[in-house]
Amino acid sequence: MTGQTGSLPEIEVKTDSDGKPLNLKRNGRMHRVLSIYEHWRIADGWWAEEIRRDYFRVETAQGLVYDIYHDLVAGRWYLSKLRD
Amino acid sequence: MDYIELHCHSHFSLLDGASPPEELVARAKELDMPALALTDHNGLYGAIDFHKSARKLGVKPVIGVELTLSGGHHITLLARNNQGYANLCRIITKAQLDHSKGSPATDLAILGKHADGLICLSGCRKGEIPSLLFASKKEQAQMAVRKYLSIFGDNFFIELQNNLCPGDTPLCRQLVDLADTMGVRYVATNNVDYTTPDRHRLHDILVCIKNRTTLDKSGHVRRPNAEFYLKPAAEMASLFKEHPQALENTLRIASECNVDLNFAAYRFPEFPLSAGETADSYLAGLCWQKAKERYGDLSEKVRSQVSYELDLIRKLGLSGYFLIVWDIMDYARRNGIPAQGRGSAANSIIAYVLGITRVDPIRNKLFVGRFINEEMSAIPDIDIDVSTNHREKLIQYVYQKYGEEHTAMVCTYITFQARNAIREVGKVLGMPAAILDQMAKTVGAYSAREIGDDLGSLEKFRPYVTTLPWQYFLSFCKEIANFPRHLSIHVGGMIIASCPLCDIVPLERASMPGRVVCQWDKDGVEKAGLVKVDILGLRMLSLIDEAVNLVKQGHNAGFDLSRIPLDDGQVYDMICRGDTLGVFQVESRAQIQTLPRTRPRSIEDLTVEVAIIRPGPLQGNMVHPYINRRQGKEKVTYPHRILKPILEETLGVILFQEQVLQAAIAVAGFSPGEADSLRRAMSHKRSRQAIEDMRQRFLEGAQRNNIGEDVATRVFDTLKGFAEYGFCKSHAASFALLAYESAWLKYYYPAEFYAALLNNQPMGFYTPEVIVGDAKRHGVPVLPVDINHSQGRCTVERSKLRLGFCYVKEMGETAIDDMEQARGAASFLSLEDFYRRTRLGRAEIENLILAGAMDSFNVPRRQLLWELGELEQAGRDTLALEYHTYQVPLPGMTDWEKLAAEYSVQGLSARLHPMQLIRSTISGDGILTGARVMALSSGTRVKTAGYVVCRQAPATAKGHVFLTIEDETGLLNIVLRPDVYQKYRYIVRTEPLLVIEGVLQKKEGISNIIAKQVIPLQEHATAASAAPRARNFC
Repeated sequence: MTGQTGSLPEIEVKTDSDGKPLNLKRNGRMHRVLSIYEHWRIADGWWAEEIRRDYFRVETAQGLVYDIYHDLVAGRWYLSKLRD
Repeated sequence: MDYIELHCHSHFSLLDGASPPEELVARAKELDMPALALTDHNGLYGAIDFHKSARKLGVKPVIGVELTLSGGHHITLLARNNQGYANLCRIITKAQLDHSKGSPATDLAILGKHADGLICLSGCRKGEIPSLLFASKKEQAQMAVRKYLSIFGDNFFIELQNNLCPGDTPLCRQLVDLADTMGVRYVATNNVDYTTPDRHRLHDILVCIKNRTTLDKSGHVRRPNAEFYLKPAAEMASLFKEHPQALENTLRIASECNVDLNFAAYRFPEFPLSAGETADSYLAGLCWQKAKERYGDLSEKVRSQVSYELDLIRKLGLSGYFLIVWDIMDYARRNGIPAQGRGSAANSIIAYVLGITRVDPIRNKLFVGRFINEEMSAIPDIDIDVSTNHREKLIQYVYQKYGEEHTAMVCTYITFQARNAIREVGKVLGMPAAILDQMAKTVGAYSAREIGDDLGSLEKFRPYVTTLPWQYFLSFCKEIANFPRHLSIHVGGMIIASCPLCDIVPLERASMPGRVVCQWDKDGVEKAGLVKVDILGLRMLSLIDEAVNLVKQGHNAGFDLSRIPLDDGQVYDMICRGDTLGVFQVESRAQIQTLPRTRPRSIEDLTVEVAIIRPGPLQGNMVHPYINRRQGKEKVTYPHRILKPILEETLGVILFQEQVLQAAIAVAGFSPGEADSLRRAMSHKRSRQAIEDMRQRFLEGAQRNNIGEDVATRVFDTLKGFAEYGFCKSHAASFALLAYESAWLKYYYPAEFYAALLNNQPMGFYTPEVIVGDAKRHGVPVLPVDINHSQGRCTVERSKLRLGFCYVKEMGETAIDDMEQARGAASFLSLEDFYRRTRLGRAEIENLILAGAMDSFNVPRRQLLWELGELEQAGRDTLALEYHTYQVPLPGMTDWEKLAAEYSVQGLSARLHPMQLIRSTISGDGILTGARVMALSSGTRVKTAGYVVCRQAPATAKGHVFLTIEDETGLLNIVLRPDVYQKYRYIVRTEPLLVIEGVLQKKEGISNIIAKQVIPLQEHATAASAAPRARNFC
């Protein structure tokens, strides 16, 4: 549901052929994805405002763990959470 | 890498699976999956269909279940072998029967007792082990693993699921770690709910229906995504690339699971016999003895037919089955329970002499090959009709005789059809309740698949069916069509098996207290090779029994219905007039309109009449040729002279299934088994190839009988044209006998007949108020319910019909018993007397007052209601009150108020027809009574009005709709042509009181009004509340 993500920062993500993130760009800085801990998918709201998102919990080369998601309806990537 | 799905739900995981078993199997085949497991929740409802369709498509079926444990955890069980399957059935049965309906649960101790032959997977996220890991309770998880290992040993596997739900990936890693630590193997499954991702929407709808919520409010109960589909091996390999062993183990497990679901060997128990006796010898001895009782001296024909059938029954191994059914019927006879065999069994002389059926197959020229023959592959059912009032007693006898473990009722699945789909799917989507209600009331289609076309044809609903949310609605209604919604009890099917049933099929509670049903419906039971006996409640048998008892009480204690002549001209005259309201099988509008044309004069004619006015013969164009020939308007011809003896009774028209068999035998020399195969192939529209193969054999056989190819081809094509629509003659003959008996009672003992008819509602086409009107028109005065004269049931008082308390709402058995006991001492003299001598509550007494049951006190009803209030305030045990000291004058109830009150508390009025009150307000509008309309000549334009008592839209009528309306003078038939119906559809389907303007059509003693205009009559606000309730067949 793109409308509810207004406050979440949009990011740029480069993916492999399976659509999995290879690196992400935030605040002009490129972060290489070292590993994907988890991948989950949300599909909901199809009867009203459709939500289809692919979430990834990734660790970057800088040692930061992010939850990012690909909004499959809008075709955009967002940062959902920076984890401690 | 290959993958086999071992955790899969079909739509038999009721309201939690979105694909039928057959579609899952077909999808597995498309995916080249070599095997597939079915693991519905706490049940094997779909096991038979799944097993059969999987075998057919070459996919190996694995039978399993997702079981709910006590405490709510889930595990997955798969049957490795037949022992495991039997254990699965036992575990599920215990889970179902030891807990309240709809809340099955299994204790681990039960699993311990029945683990043999089972493979256990640790379950989905609701499994105990995943739940503990999720809660970071690793040690407890290890203990749980040890517990399952102690029960299942090497047959216990840790189950991994990755449906891309948050937390799935780490959970799988933890499960694998645990498995490795404990030395347990692990296996991947996908917890499938549907075939393909697009079906997740329907799954959401189903889950919302189950949880009685809407999509908007159901986030917590729905799946978070659309990943619960049958996934191809490549997708599963990608999801489990960290754990390839998990996929390999699916193949290993599936290869170990081998279950055969054929239970023919257990199909019925041994009939208890004395030493040295076999079922064959006992049956033979019994039949010869009974044949002498039935026939006296045995003619050669009887003798050879009994011998032939006994030989056939012996060869088919059915002697025990006949003895079981005989024993049930013998119990019924000894206990005065009216019962008779129905269906094709009535073709059998063995069934007749044993007293299972009542129709003599020799006299009625029946043909046993339709029931049993040497080549038959499935055991035929013997169906028994039993008086509805006595049915339970007969069922209890079967339970007692064979034991509760060996006996169960067959279930039936209540499925989604047009009306419930509109209401339930619409509610989930949040559609306005008022519109859904209108749609459900207006929809003409039965199938939920056709809702869009049906409602789209109406102006009123067109805007809805063409806009987006409503299009969702329509497409889901289409998808959900025929899905099982919940289980119910079959009307009469019982299975009796030689081994405990809980080794064959799980049993569960029915909604009726104490009643148990098996998890298969009648088709499943048949496919499993089991035999069922249908014990069907037939209200007409109760009616006849009660009417006969009333005749014995009031007229002739020695009356015996079995001795009435079957050729009474006056009874047939009544039938020929179409004066058959309440008469079994020939009371529908279509029957009443046909009888004056076909003019049945014998039981044989009635047999034809029962069989012919049905959708099949109408669709097969058999009706008009028969009627024309019957009336002498068309010459009676036969496709070949060899068929004359077979088709003579139906004037050359092929009507009965038995005739198709006999024709194939006569023309082509087919054996009875071959002939029945031909009938089945033709009647079920089997493959064209199968029918064409039969044609070749038919032509060759005909040639051997010196019948030319042209003639044989013509006969074959004629049979093909009719076989699809034919009716079983022996069934029609059994019903014709009841039709005649009920007509005879109506003619000679109308008061007793109508009393019994009212006491056995609901039955037939007409509601009680219509029956009351018919009774009055037949000179039977109908007396209102009266506290000093009525009994629980309707009774006869000197040829007058007295309404019983059973028609007054709230008057249950206890209240009636209490009142009758008090009345036994002395009649009631006043309301106060009644109040003090009975223990009835306010609701019961109020209803009795409003129904007019206390009118004999000569106190106005409103006054009585006021007095009741005073009595209640004072209490039952105080001294008598002096009302007159502080009585307030109250206005009396108007006629409308009285009528509305009577309808409200007893659904009818013995005093007045509502149209009598309306008449004065509409007489100026040129609206005629039905009686005056009937006196006019054909072609007259008429205007009349009445309450709708019946609406019919038979599929065979090509869009025509038939109404029966009633006014104070009688019933009128209204025909709405398709264009007129479409124009007034909403009014016709919803308004109780109509003005009809149209043209009177009279032909061959039959009158109809061809409607041109339909207007709702809303003259009087109370008129609708005093409306008889119509019976709708559309």
